[in-house]
Amino acid sequence: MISNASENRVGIAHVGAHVPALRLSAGQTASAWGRRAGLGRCAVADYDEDALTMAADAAILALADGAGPVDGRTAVYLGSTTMPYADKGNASVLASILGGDPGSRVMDFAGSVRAGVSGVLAALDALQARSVERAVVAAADTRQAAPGDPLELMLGHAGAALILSPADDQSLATIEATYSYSEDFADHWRRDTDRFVRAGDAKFVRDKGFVRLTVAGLQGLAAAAGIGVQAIEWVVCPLPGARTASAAARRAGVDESRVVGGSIQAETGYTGAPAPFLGLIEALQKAEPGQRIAVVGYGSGCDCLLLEVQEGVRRLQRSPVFPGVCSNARDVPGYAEYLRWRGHLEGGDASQPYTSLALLWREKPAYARLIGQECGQCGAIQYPPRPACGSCGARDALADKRLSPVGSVTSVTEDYLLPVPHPPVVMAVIDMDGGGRFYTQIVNVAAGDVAPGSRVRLSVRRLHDGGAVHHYFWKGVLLDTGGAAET
Amino acid sequence: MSISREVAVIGIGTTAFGENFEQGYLDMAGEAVSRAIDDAGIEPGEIGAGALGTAYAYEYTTEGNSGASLAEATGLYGIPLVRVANYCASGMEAVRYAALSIAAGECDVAIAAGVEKMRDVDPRGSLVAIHHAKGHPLYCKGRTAPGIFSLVARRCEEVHGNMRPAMTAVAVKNHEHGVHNPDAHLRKPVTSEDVESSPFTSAPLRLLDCCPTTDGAAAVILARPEVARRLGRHPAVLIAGSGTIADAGYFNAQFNGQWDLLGFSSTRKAAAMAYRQAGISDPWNEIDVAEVHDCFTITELVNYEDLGFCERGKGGELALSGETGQGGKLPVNLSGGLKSCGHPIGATGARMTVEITRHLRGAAGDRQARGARRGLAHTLGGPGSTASVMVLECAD
Repeated sequence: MISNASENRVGIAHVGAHVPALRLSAGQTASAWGRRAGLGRCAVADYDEDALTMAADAAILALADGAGPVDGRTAVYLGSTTMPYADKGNASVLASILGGDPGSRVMDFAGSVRAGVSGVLAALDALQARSVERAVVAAADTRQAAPGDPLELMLGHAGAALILSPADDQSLATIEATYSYSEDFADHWRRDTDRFVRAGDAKFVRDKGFVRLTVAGLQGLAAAAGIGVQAIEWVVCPLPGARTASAAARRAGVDESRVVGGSIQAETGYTGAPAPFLGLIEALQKAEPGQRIAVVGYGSGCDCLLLEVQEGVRRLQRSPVFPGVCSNARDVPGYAEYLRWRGHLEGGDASQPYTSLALLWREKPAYARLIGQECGQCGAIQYPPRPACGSCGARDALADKRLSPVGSVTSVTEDYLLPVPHPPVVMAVIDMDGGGRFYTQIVNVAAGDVAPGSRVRLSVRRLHDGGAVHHYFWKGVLLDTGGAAET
Repeated sequence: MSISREVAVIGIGTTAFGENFEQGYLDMAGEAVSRAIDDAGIEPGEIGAGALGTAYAYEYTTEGNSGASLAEATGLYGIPLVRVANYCASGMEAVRYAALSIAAGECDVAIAAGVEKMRDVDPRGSLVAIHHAKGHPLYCKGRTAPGIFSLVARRCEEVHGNMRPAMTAVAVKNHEHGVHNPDAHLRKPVTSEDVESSPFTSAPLRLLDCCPTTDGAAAVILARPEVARRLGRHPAVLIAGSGTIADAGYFNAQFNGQWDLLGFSSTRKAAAMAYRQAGISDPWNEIDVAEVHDCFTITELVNYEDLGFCERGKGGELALSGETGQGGKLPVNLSGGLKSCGHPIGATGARMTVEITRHLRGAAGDRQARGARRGLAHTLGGPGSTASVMVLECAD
């Protein structure tokens, strides 16, 4: 436990979140299990989303808040219990997408849903030790309960990211104290051989797990900071179930009106590793400079942060993360289709597109970071990189040029032939701001949503799994309806 | 040096185009070549060189990776035979290669064959599978052949207005033409309602805007003009001009920000090259019959513009005028085009050469273009990456 000395304080500089567009609700699942529909609803990953894509998108949005590029002095940490790779770096994939330098410190935090806040503690130590100058801490989860388990609609999917750096006048908040509490407790768990998260006895888990351990965390955090829990204006302690966090806060002696994070959880369900980050973002959107926020990262005990809100929070409040990232919400096309995406219904196309690990290694800067070329002779910007300019043929005049990730649609089609999990695939030609053209799929749109002039940003999605490798690439996300609404 | 009027077409032959389940790749190649040799009235031993056009060997078929497949199919051993591949323009490139062999003095008689065996797999197992499962692991995933040209159709609709009536007119016209071609894959007329109620393949293109997936082979025998005169079997047909242009790569065509998506510069440049050799300055008035690459109906419309048959942006009007149908001023795709014949990729350019030769000989039967003295054939490859244009004319 520590209480920070003011000359070496660490701030949260930027935040970002990714909430999948799709929602699964009891109205869709109940009939499959012969039940009456209840009220459960959660955000679920699309067929091309996973913990890495959601973490990457959240980190990209956080970095787009004026953070500048990720360099060799920036740590890239990823917290998740549902890493796409069980044996191979995951944060290293994230770092390559974010432009991490080979010198970047890269770590995976896993094993418990507290992994995101654990990553913040590790980043805090590294920043205070001046081992790194900045840290991107991203967290995401796609936790699955067995189809039909009541837990299925409680566990939502999302990603979030915090960028930490030495406190300055731009900081959204500063980290004032931390507290960690460890106890082996089987509340929700998944063995190494399990596909699904399972839960212990609901009442026992709630009382002796979620509530008791969160109380221990909040009281320990207040003690570490030398304050009473009453002095904490906002409490973020996301837990499974709609009212569990309020119950835990009340038991810790905090008025439940101070508990924040319920709005985003009502949208997403309990998201695991990113949940404390999402709750913190919601708190930052409400808090006044000078107020304190406690963040409890629950899981086999808890990792806790005490933050003091700073003037920089006004910037976030002028362009809030929520509810914007939830604005494209739509139901999954159907429960059966959702189960098919998750591999619970077998059959259909098992296409395994060609891949080459040597090619992917060689071309990584181009595909991971959108590095194209600018021709010094004719000025054309081309992508992907080629030995000669595609416009004037110059061979010695090409310099690396990163494409803007934002652009406007020039033409678009809805293709019904391609074997994708949910046809049609919407393919668009996008002319990027500042030059260069991209050609890719547009996600989470229906036929007619995209038209010439539509504004699009590029986001990382999982393209296919040819060769038993996850292939990540850029797809377009509609920013607005462009000219479509007006014409 | 150009090959203009240095090379004559002396023999032509094709298989039927269709789902040739009873024929393999080598069977089709052998049949088309035998027909061409018989048509020419030469001995096989007179052939001194040749080329085989096949776009995708070893992708959905088991043959065609080398000119050796042509030797194996025909018994033409002991001469230079090579395979050429140039996307959908492969067949016409085989003809051009054979012509260049003659013009370069390597031989007096050469053969070109185009062969593609696509239906040993299901229709989505050929081109759709290539786009989805083959090629670069990341770039252009989500693209299909109609998906490429539907982007052009959408862009044309944005700039020129509704293209649907003209696209429908092309489908109706080429299906009507195909009824009169005994070798066409699809030999049935379609109505505007049929076209416009067919399901989307890649919007705005519908199923009846697309050519089918087809097997087929075509072959031509080329020779020095004096050989043609000596044989005297057919009215002599000469290659007046031949242009091939590679104007973009496969992926970077799609990513090239300079492309306006309203037509294909490769076609415009290949046409300029062929017209220069042939001495054509006003193609609309100097060409009597044409076979153009109508892989999709929108492609035929932009081809009109790129080939100089009309001003840019006026392809739709031209299609609706009826002047490119049978009996019009410049009938296009009297064979039925790719739309009705189908598009066995490597065979198409050779088939077009056969078709134009028939019209110039006056031997096209009830689909004959009346009084045709000069004809054009055009193929487009990749996402407009490459194009070939050939102008043929009567020698006298």
